[in-house]
Amino acid sequence: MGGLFTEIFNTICNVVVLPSFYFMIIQSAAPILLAALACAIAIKANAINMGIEGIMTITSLSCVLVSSAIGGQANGGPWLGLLVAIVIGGLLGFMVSVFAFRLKIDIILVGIAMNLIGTGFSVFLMYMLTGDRTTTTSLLSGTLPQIHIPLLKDIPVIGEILSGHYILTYLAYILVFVMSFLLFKTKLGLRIRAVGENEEAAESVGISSLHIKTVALIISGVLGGVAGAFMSECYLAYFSSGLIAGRGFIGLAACNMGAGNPGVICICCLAFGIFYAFSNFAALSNLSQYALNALPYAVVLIGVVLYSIYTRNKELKRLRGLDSEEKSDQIAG
Amino acid sequence: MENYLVMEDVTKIYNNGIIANDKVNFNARKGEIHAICGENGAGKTTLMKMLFGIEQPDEGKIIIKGEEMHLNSPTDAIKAGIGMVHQHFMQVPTLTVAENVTLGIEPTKGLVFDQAKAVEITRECCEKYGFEINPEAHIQDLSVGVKQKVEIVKALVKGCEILILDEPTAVLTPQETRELFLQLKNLRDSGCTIIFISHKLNEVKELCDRVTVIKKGKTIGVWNIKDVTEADISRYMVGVDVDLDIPKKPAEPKENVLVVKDLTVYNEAGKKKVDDVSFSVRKGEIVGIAGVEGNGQRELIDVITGLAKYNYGSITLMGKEVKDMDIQGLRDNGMVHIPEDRNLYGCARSMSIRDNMIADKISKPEYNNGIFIDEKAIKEDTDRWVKEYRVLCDDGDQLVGMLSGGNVQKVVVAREFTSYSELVISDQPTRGIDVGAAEFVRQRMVEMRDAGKAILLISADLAEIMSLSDSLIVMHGGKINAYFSDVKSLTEEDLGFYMLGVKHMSEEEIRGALHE
Amino acid sequence: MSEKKEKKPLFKKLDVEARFGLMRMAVAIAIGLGLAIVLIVIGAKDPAESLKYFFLGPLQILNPNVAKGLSFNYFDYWIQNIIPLLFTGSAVCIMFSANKFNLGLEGAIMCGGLACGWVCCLLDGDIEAATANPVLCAVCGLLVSVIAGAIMTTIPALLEKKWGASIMVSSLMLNYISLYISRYCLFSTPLRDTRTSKYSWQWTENVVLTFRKFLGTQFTLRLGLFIGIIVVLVSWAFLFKTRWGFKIRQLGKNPSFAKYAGVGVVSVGVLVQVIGGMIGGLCGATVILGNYNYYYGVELTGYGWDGVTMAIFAGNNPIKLFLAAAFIAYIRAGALIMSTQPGGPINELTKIVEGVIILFLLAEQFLARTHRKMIVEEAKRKQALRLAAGEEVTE
Repeated sequence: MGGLFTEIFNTICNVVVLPSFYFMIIQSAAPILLAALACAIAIKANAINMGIEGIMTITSLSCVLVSSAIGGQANGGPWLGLLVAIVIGGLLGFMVSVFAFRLKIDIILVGIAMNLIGTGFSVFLMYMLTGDRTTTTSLLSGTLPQIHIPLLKDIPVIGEILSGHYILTYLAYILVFVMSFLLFKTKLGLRIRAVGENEEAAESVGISSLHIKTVALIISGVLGGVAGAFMSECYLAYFSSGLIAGRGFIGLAACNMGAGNPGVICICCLAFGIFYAFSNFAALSNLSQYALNALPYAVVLIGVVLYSIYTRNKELKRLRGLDSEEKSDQIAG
Repeated sequence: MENYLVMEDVTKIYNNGIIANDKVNFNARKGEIHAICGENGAGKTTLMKMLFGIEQPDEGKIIIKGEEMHLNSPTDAIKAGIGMVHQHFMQVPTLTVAENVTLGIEPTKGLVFDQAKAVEITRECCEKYGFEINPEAHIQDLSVGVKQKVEIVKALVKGCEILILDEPTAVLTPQETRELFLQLKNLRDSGCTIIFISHKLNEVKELCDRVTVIKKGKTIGVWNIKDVTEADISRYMVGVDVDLDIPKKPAEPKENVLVVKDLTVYNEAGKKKVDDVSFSVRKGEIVGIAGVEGNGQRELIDVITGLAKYNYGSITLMGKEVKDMDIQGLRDNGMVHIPEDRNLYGCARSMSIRDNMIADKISKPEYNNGIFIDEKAIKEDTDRWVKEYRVLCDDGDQLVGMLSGGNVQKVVVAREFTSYSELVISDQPTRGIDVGAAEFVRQRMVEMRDAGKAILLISADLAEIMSLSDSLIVMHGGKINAYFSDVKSLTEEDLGFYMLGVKHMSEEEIRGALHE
Repeated sequence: MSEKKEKKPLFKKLDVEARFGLMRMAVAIAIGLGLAIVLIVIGAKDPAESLKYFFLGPLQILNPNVAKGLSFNYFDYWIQNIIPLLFTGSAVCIMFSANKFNLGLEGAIMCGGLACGWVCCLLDGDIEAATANPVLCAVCGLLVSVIAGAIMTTIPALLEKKWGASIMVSSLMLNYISLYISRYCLFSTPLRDTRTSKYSWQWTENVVLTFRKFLGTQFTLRLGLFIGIIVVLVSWAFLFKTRWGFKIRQLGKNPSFAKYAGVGVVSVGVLVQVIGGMIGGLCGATVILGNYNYYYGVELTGYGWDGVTMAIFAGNNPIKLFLAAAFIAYIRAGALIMSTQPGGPINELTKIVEGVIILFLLAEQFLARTHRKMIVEEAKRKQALRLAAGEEVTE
């Protein structure tokens, strides 16, 4: 056992000094962050978008197809691909809302059906168009550009870590602020939160909860589209059948852990990124790669539990606080 | 201004055929506080729902400032200058006061919600009407009293000139009530019309200018508050048209089955709902609990039936303390329960009549063959009960959800009365069911009594409670306000006085309920 | 009521809800199959040929191998596909009956298979010569898998009970954790066969042979199918014929009513998830034992999600799983056979079909107008009957 701890300690020491480790944290957290933000806006409107996995699958394929259709990298294909992914994502989000709120199906089951259809449809389409069952490597779809930030890139270590990411990686982190702004500073955000928390109250002042939930799910779908584009135009330069690999679900978990608050979600995703990157880097050591791979998921699970304990205690404290207030009132009366 | 708001011959018939309002007339002047009084189910809430656009009248007109209005939604009502403070606050707990107040009419700067403006609007409104609220506080951190003020400000900010308050003092402490009244008087003086729905006659007397009394969906009359006493209002409100003629012999009570001693119950928010209550129910008698809704009966019944827990005092069933018993334990000791809300607690609508009737006895040996349930025995018994309790249905396999209210209640009663029982808790047993079914249920209860069961009856139907009960407890403000060991000598008028807290009995008389 | 009964066709004898349910299912399946046809026509080089294989393939009549006397067996595809569906369907039927959205079945299957493989290796692996008793191997494997599966679904159940952690999220994460546990065991522990890179040590082939009886060249008798059928029957009996099952359904239909009638709401809620996991574990073990004499789990099986599909098809009634599983397995086998033919479209299209059918099966508002019409007609008919019988209508 002692040997194992030494090994772990040594690996950690070796890994934390590498700038590429931090680079990888930032990059691997990005798609999960996008997925989590997508779930966040939905969950704030009291809708669990479990179909995010399916939405990411379909959109990541569609941007590859569109990009290669207009000639790939040279003709700016990835950009059009991104645009199409966003549009399709929005449409799928709208579809989820139609099935869940107009046709009144349990939204979790809609999500499960959406994931089924997503996997099925993407593989079907891929095979039909490329004749390949697993990947679209035969299509030249290209990637979105990496951004080398002037000045910053020249700073040693920090430049290595922060510069040179794909444009969507930066976008993901920018979207944390955008989403915070949207949820907490705009009229729409206010209405989304009101509908999510007390639908009746919102309806009583003339806000249509159906309308607000639909908008929230469309935005959720759009973000899912960006996440999908990230996977097939940044993370890889092609689509493959197991590409998304549960990232949508992890996003959902991160969102659950952060209770839909973008800042907390971002921290959760980075925590996931740390363990994900660590498990990748540690593969070079003598530690078991597969045990390490389970680590990020275990961290999310523990996080979810800790967060539940935290909120439960907070709620209890709040109730007790109110309780004592009431009692003192009564004594005074 | 006379005839500022007029509701003329307004009639509302619900889908289930109940006539909630029958040609009700109501009018309010500008700048007055107008009380609407009536028993539970008299039709006050329906009337106000129509005024606030939640329901639409089948007949009659609503006229505001001489103009006939068609209010199809709360939005229409808000536009017409009507605001309503519901009993359950329509607020979003994690948002601030300012955000809640301006929800639906959010001030914006471009796309951005203008927080500063919202706070300013709220503050202005608060200052104008003399409310002390911090616009930046979060709703969840506020006490009930302040939440209610927020609810009023919410209406005022939208330019409301007619404010409806549905039993606003039910959730308030005496101090908060006093403060609220001051503010309501201020509002009235600044020209607002306030419609005040309440059971508490002393409050009506203290606060209001005029009072309209509604009984059984009809207007009884309008009076200036100066011209009537609390006793008068009570007399107008309460009153039994028909005497239910239930043939029954005098009761022969034997030993105690249920003993409740010094029981005090706090609700989740820590508010005292049952206050030092003691009474007992004996074999072979029906003890009625009368009282205006919201005076602690709900909480009392919840702890007796095991749906909620209690900390202070004791409850014993057949001599055993029930504090640590779960519901199965209570039932094993002979408690059966006809719940108030039959659709929530009394049945599973998507299960069959058979399943519903057997639900509480499914673990009994007589319905099990080893590990399997004995379907034959269940079918035999439930088929017999369906006949015995005259449940109108195709057969026992029909879903309960397909039955009418009266027949659902018969299923509930059949289940409970066919279980092992010593104590029957009968909570609003005939609410909302047709006359035939109601009569049947009442008859069954008398039979149970004659078979030596102890019965505790809670009912908002005064005719029912007066003709069924052998002895009667009246609850007011969480306490027992009166105990009558003989109901025959009791008049409706007197009962009304005790229910509404106009009269009180002495400690000693009330102690008689314990049968020591 | 008069004893004299109207003569009605069978369909009319069912009550209105059941009739509507059947009708809606028929429409949903028709839409699904219609979509399948469209997809095949779009995707296939020779649509007619592909459609033929899709619809008739699993019936064995088109199998070129039959004539050649090879063991390649279309019909067996179908049966093979049915087996896991029976298990997972039962598990999810039980969990959904109590309204518990535990999605950890996938992990339970994974861990069940792993535990089974490990035990078999312990008993018999690592040695060139097969010495262990195959029946002992199988029985021990199945037993251990039940325990392993139960653990995987009980963890989220307890986390929710104790701390209120979302059961859906924690069960999803546990699925991935069990995947990596499986990979870890397979690659970094003595379970791994050092001679190959992918699999565990092999155990005696006789286990598989016990599970699979070849009847001539054409038919394979699969023990797994029989275990599956037993699991379905037991689940059905448990859910509909015992007092515990009654309480579970009561809890799912109306939790407040269950509490009022004395059901231990929390313990029953946890119990169903334990049972679901047990069946999931059994599923993992059966699939391994019935097909291979080594453990190979490096990817999630997807069977857990199939369970959800099955439960929706069966309306949470395990007995209906036979039809549901046969149907889904049939189109899957058909699609697989079709896709192996030159120019055939890929079999994944069945997932689209399944997803679409699920949506239409569940949509409350879908065909709502027809539903309303049927109810009104039924009510009128009954009233007329009652009036005719001279009964008093009190409502």
